[in-house]
Amino acid sequence: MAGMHELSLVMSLLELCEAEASRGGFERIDRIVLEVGALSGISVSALRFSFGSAVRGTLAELAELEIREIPGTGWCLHCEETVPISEPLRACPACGGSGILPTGGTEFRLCELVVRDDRAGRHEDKGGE
Amino acid sequence: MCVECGCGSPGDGKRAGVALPHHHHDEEGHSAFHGHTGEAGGVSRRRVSVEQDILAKNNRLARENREFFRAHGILVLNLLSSPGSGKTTLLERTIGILGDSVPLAVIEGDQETSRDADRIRRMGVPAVQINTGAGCHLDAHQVAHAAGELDLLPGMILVIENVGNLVCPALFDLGESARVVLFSVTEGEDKPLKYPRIFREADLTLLTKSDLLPHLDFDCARAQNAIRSVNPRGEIRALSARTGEGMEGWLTWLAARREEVGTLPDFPA
Repeated sequence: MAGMHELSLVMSLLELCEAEASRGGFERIDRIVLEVGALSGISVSALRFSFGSAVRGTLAELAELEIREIPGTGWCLHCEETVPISEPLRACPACGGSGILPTGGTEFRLCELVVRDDRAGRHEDKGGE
Repeated sequence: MCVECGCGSPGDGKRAGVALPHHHHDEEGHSAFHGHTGEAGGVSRRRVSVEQDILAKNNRLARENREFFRAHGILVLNLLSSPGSGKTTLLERTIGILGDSVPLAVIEGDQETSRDADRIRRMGVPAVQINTGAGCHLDAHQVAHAAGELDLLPGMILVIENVGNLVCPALFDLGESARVVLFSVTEGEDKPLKYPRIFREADLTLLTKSDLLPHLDFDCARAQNAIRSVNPRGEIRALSARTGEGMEGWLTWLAARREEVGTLPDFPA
């Protein structure tokens, strides 16, 4: 199911990008690097789909979207070790128990941008008469 | 004025009971800029390390809402379910039983129409309708503004009826005191396994429309096991808002939550 929340998440992402742009003085983004955890409730394919339609006319219009998918992991209180977990049960693969504290995979983060400086953007204008 | 959206902020003024929430528009986090420049074609590129949670803004606004509601002794419930599982009917029945004994207010979230808010207002309870249009969930910012349109009183119960949807609303904290998920017995028993996120974070799961059980193959024990398997801690209760069966359990839960929030000494009796 392509949940529409991915679209509003992309809008939040673009807001963050705009804020970074006004703070950092750049006008174009070439690459956006995200971390999306397997337990975050976010569908990577829906996110890519929403991104493609939402970036038109924005500073990220030509940006490449790099998504680092983080696997789900948790600390099993019974086995006392870190184990891989997945939705929907998040059960421990060793003991089958549900007493697990998620330690990884809930991320939804903007990690890094590769941007073009304003200066570079105006480079062509500078040469003009 | 609210800088988040440019609209007139309700936080500018005061209403009958309590001062309204207003947002702080501070900078979120900070970035480290690295000067990696110089790429092909005379274009200057660099990396900007951001490391920010994309939901940070909603989470910050939700935190502000929560602090505000807590400071005023207002119990806030985020009511979540599929469309048609009986959220508004439960509210109507609850209002009918509580009458004037507990001050209530409702925020209704739907994509379109004000039908649900109209139903609540007909019961004599203040209600604000939020139409999300294409949006599939309420967010903390919408809730702050809607709360501003209500005459909130200390000690009040504010119920936020979220957009009927088991997926998206789960991700958006509104600043509620508790999450209540409705799961009607006309749905499949395995629904909690299909939509684990929303059930996992429920403080209370209500099995609704229990009066229909004799006509259905719905296996209550299986449904409860499914809920337990994704959410071992939350409470589970069954009720029928139509017949009133099980309403007592729900009201007991409500009273206990209200006690936890506490009422202010200056709560008008």
